[in-house]
Amino acid sequence: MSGAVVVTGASSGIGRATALHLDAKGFHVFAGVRREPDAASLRRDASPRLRTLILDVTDSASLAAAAKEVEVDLDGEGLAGLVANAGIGVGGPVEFVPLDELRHVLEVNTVGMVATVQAFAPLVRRAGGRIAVVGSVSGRLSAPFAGPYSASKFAVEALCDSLRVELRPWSLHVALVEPGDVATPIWDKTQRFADELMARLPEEGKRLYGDLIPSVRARLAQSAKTAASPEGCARAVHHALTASRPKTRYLVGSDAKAQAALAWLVPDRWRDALIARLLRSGRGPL
Amino acid sequence: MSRGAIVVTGASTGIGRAAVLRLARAGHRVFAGVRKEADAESIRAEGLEGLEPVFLDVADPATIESAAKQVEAEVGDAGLAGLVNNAGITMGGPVELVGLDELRRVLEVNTVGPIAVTQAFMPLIRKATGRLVFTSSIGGRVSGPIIGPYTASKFALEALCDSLRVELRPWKIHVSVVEPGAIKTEIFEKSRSMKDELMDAFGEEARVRYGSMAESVMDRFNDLEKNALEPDDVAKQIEHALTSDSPKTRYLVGTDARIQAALGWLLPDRAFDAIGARLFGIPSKPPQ
Repeated sequence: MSGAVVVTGASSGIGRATALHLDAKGFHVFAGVRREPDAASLRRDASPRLRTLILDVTDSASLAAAAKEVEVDLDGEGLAGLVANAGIGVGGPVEFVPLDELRHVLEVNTVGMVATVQAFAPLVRRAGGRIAVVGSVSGRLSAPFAGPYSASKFAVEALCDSLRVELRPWSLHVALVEPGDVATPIWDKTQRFADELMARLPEEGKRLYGDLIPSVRARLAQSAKTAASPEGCARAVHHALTASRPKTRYLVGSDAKAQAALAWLVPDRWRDALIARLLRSGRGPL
Repeated sequence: MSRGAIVVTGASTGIGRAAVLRLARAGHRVFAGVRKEADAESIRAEGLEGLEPVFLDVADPATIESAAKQVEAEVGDAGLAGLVNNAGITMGGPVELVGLDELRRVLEVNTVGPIAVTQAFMPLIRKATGRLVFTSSIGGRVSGPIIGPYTASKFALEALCDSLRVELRPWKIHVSVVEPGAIKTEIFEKSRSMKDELMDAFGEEARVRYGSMAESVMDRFNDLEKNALEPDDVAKQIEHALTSDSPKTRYLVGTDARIQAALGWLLPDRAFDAIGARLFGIPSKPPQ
């Protein structure tokens, strides 16, 4: 397999693992990162084929420049795949989450995904390529204190459902990869963010939600330990880009499958009670 | 006033308008959120006791703050029995070409807006252990071609409501989501011209690729509207969510909404897509 693919958010976690996996499988990988040191580190670990792109999905000009660079490099060829992966984690109780943080996670995870698709769609069309979007099982189940992140990923699910049907006439496949907990720095970043958010909570917020903070934090720490490696996601992306019968959704990890089943089968009230109980014990899905 | 005070956003027309009338007639003190003086005037002209307009634009933080202050001054320590986050807009376009600012706008009004309003009124809701009701849509559960921007905003809203519902459990503050299908409201009339706007905005490329798709989607929505429910059918469910001893977490309103929810729940994606493609006249081959 030798097509060209673009992977965004390739500095760490799922994006990095996916870029390296596809590189190892023989793809001509364009790995999008925001900072040069991350680019250098990727180039060090990959084959000489792998090219890095400096791009920020929240910056239209940088996306356009990256798309141009890829287009020039491909010299008339198109993209066999686009992996829209870049994303951030933002948490906090809905009652007190700063609205700008909510806007920011929607901007990066939702608008950024659409901006990425738009920037590279002409090249995907040129080769009859495929699009793989990295969502999350949080796009199906929204747990307490994960509302802002889940909102952005629920929105991604809606947009992928639309895009998939819209691109049917051209047989351009769209797949959504939905990992559960994956050992990625997003957890460290989220944990750090949780600390900051809690520190910034107004007194009223601390009084109301303070009791639950330690269990949320314990939950984050635990998930970092039990999280699956990002390679499972990389394999799912590879399947989505190459299989003769690609799936529309790839739930990755047993926790993702369990949470998806919980969202699908269990009535709201029961699920709420279960989640509330798990949360108090520091084991709840988040 | 024997029954509690309630704030409803987006009360100038449609579901919001029907809700404030229904709630005021049931004896609630109702603050009807509107953005324009003319709408405030028409709310006053209803002449219903306890019904009064309040200026509130969910995309304008200053008006949210002033509305919250005004309502607080009026209800004092009695607090609010309910907040109905109803204001919303529609927005369509193919994901490949939709303007990013348009997408941001629908997320701001339909997703961030209701949370901004909720945050502002929570102190009053807490005082009375009131309830929160959000007007979502069947589009908060299932998506389809050309309506991605709108469904994205409503999916996101549903996620936030799911989190909020569990977060507020310790205080027994109920959170309900109302999910109507096609309703006779102005939102539909506005979307009728969407096809033309869409094509104007995206130019020739969009016309060639998505013109017939957008047209058949809009035609389909217009068909749906013929059998659409009255706004008051939704208002009835909002009232239930606010007053019933056993409020539901979700209210699907309308046969079309129930059918879509069931199909979305039961069918594999490919089968759901095939039905959607057929229903909306999505071609199986690229348009010429």
